[in-house]
Amino acid sequence: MIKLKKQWRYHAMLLPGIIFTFVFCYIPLYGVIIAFQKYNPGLGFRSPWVGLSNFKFIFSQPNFVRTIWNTFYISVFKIIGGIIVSVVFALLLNEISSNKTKRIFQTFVYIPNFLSWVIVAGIMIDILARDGIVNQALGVLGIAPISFLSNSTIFPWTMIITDIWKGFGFGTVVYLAALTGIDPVLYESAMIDGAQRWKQIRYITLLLLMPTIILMLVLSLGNVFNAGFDQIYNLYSPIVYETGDIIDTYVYRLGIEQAQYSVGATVGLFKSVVSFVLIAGSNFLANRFAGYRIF
Amino acid sequence: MKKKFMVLFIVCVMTIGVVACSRNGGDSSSPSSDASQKTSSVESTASSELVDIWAPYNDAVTLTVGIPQNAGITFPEGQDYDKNIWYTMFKDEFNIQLENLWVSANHSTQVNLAMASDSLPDVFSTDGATLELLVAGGLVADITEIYDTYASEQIKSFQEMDDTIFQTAVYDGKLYGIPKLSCGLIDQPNHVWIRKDWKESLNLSDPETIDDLINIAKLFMEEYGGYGIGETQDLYTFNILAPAWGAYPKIWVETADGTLGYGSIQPEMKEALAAFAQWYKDGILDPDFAISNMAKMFEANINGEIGIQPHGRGGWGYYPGVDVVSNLGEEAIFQAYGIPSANGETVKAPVNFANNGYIVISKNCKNPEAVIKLVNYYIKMLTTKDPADAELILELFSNGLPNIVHSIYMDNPVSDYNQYVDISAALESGDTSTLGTSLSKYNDIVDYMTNATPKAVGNYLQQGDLKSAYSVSKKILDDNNIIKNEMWGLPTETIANSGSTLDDILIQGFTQIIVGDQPVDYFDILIESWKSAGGDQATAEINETYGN
Amino acid sequence: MLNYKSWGRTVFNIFNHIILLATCLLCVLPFVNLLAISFSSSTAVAAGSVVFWPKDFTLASYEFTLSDGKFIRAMMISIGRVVIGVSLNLILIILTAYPLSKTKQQLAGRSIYVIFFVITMLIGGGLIPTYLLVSGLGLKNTIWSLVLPGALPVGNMVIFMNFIRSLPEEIEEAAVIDGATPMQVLMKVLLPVLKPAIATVGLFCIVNHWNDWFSGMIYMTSTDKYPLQTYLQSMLLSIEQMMQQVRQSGGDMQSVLTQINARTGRAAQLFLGAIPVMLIYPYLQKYFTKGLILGSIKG
Repeated sequence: MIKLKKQWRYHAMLLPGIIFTFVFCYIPLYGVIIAFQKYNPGLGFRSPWVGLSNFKFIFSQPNFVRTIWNTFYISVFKIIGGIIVSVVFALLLNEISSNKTKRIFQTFVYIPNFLSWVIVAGIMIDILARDGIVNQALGVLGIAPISFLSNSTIFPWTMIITDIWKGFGFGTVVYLAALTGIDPVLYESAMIDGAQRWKQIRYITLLLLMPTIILMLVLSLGNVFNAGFDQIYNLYSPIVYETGDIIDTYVYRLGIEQAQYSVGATVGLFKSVVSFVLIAGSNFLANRFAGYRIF
Repeated sequence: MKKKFMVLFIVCVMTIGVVACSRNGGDSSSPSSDASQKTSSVESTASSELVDIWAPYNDAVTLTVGIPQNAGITFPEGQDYDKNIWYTMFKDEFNIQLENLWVSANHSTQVNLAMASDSLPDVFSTDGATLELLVAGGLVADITEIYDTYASEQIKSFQEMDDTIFQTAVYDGKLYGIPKLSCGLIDQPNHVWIRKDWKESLNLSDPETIDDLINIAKLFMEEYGGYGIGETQDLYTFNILAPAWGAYPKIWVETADGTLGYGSIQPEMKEALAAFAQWYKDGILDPDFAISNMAKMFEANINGEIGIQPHGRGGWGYYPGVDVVSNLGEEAIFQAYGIPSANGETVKAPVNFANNGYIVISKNCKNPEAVIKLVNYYIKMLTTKDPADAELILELFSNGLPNIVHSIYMDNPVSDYNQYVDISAALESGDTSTLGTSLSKYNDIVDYMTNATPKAVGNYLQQGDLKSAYSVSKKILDDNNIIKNEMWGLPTETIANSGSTLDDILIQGFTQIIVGDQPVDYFDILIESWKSAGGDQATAEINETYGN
Repeated sequence: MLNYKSWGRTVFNIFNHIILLATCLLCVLPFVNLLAISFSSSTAVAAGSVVFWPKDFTLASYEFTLSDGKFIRAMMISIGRVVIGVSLNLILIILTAYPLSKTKQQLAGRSIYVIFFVITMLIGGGLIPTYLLVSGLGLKNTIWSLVLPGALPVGNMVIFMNFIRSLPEEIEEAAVIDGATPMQVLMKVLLPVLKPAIATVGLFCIVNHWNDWFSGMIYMTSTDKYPLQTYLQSMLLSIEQMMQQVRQSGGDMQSVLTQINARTGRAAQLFLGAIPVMLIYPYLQKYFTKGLILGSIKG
């Protein structure tokens, strides 16, 4: 009881957040029911109950299961690649001594993040075409033209790399902010001990950055089933459905005839459950084996 | 919250193929159009209630509407969605005040949300699938009686032109919506467009067969470079040219054994695919077509890289025509030709169930007959030839203003056909007095002929040129060389639920065949996958609903 | 003291600058292309001939986008939304993240709280129930419908929470010993030192609010109330709706419209819509590079 008395202020601070979250996130949760109904907006929640048949329907759709694998594959590599590139850049940027230069570079790398995929995709299609700039450059180096967008094996990697390019600015910002939080005293004492910059980075910087990295990793896992609808939708085509069709693009095409609320809710629920398992699992592992608390 | 509805320009152009349809009248085919409309109230109803359908209300009546935002509307000074000439006329003529519940760029979502929150406007327009949901939910008014009593002769005559369309709004014998119809079938046939100056300078004759067409393509390639024919990842060109082999993809047809089957899996498709595969190998098709969209395909037109473009619905002139003329000059226009045959048999033009939606009245509407009155008025204004109305017509129908009354407008199913006849006559005689609302299109055509104004080339190539799209389409209609989609109505269950995924199987497979990743015989394996993935079920349903 | 200006260091510096420069160039090129498209005629764009320089230079796309005066109004609404929305976000984030940054011993029931919040990141009721709620609360057609539903972005809150946790404990100890309440500790001691965190999370919130066009589309019933991105998006969607049912139209816009196809329109739209955020970003940057610890513990 003494504890609570001491702590009441903390609980009080949490109250506003709890209220908002409860009202706007928990109350609408009843909408999950739509996944179990043949939903008609006109009937609302009096719509006929169909139990698991929506799930059966979507999973028995031709080629749906393959989209799950595609989504996973593309997401995982995007996450890993994205983190590596962002961290490397944050480190490189951190080494710049002039603050002004640092800021300029920082602004530039964040720019692709501001653009929407509709625009970027249009440019990508031009650049990556069989006779586009990239292939022309490759030709100069004596490499045969690569079908970045029409070859099933290469397509996912095109998606991964272009997405990393577009989004790494975001991670860089977070890591840079974390880097500024590292006590300069640590570097000074390391210097005194005779450690060169590279050793400093390995043993101090990366170590202290690790919690942030793990944090971003775990947060991304919650997103692993959203492999980037905007990007894929604007860049894919039937010839690469094999490896490029993800859950969201598939559901989108399915719903194009009429607003398929039931299907959307079903797939959404499926994604949520799996994401939950992933996040809980990784949090547990990170805690158990590395002692990191994310949540 | 996680789903965004991405509607892209490209998607729209693909599915609709731009323009072609003019919504400005021409006369209706029924002879009563010239008679003074005011007397029609006496002769109108079979139920012989002497109701004056044109009478205004004594007490003001308010109707709430929900409409889509439309970028084609240019409001004259002082007008906007809430205050405009249409709403003013409604008030003046009938004492009916229209109130906008919403003006949205995502109209269909708004309708769904309003359904869910039980806050539908009194009147709005929507598609067949939503109508079904509305009826099931008991949200719309049964207008059988009201329609009977209040609808004008004109409306009824238009609806009677194709009863199958009208019946799609009838559930359990009761009418729940008024079909909006369309501007007519003349707008549907596809064409092959060929570049005029190249063809003339090489002295080539009109293509009679597919081989002729390919010949032209090859000669163009030799002389001017580039590749021969464009294509998109959705097999747009393929779908347009397939009828040359008697194949009719994406519609339902009568098969050899008398039952109905899906056109895309019939044996004739194999020949079409084989031809395309050969063309791809020969370099006639764009090597990168598998990742191209419509805009990319049309780029080649605008750049002067190709000279042959299959295109739908007479719309080449509007897009990419305008850009082609702006970029390359008026000599570079493409002209329309019918699809040539590959096997000597007459090529038919596939024609789809044509209805642009339904006018729907909410159950909570206090004055449902008011809606019918407004529709009457709209049609009357659309079709009048009375010179006294000329100025009003101009105000009502120009600048895209009719889009404001999206909730209640209806089309005249023979408007475009008649318009083409009228305009052609006027071009010859120079007499424009009877053109009515077609006058502005006529002026556009003349403008192009005199000044080669790029923005007018659309109308010119649709109707004005000697080799205009409609000249070809009219002949097709007159000779009845059409093949109707047997699914002449709303999609059946499997098609509504999984139609797109079934098509995906085919598109993917066809593309692989065309680019050579699979042999032509792969087609047989494909149709087996299609069948077991739900195609068989879809076929059974179609036969049940639409079969004999 | 070791001499830092060693040869290896200099080489590294040069390479570093080159790599970063190259990357920046790569990042900026699409933007340049975007600008070029927005200033070109639709014909040139449709012909695919615009790369990094405008062709047939025209201001038509911008004319079209800015005509109507509604653009300015929509911009104002967006700015209002960002100010209100982000303030609310930050207040809630800070108030929630601080207690959650405490350990289980310092905050009873911490795990339950955490699960409570994190679950909402993974699962949602969907569009219709949320709409019914917002509309039922009478928020439809007001700016609150844009600002209240997402008032506490949990992902950003977790990031902020971890920033707090990365601070050394000693910072608070001094104040606690002096008898400060949690609120005072938070305001007087922690926040000044957390400026980079606030700037980071604040930036994300700003970008989210600024770019969100969907909420405006469903909650606002008239175009007068649209925030900027909704307005721009709606113009493009309505172009498509127009092309679906084109009617005969004369009038002044016709000539401007035919100069624009969706690509140039979108380009102008995107550029105009992105400007304000891009201006804020360099301003916030100076907080990123300020040290977290400077001066707080020493001595």
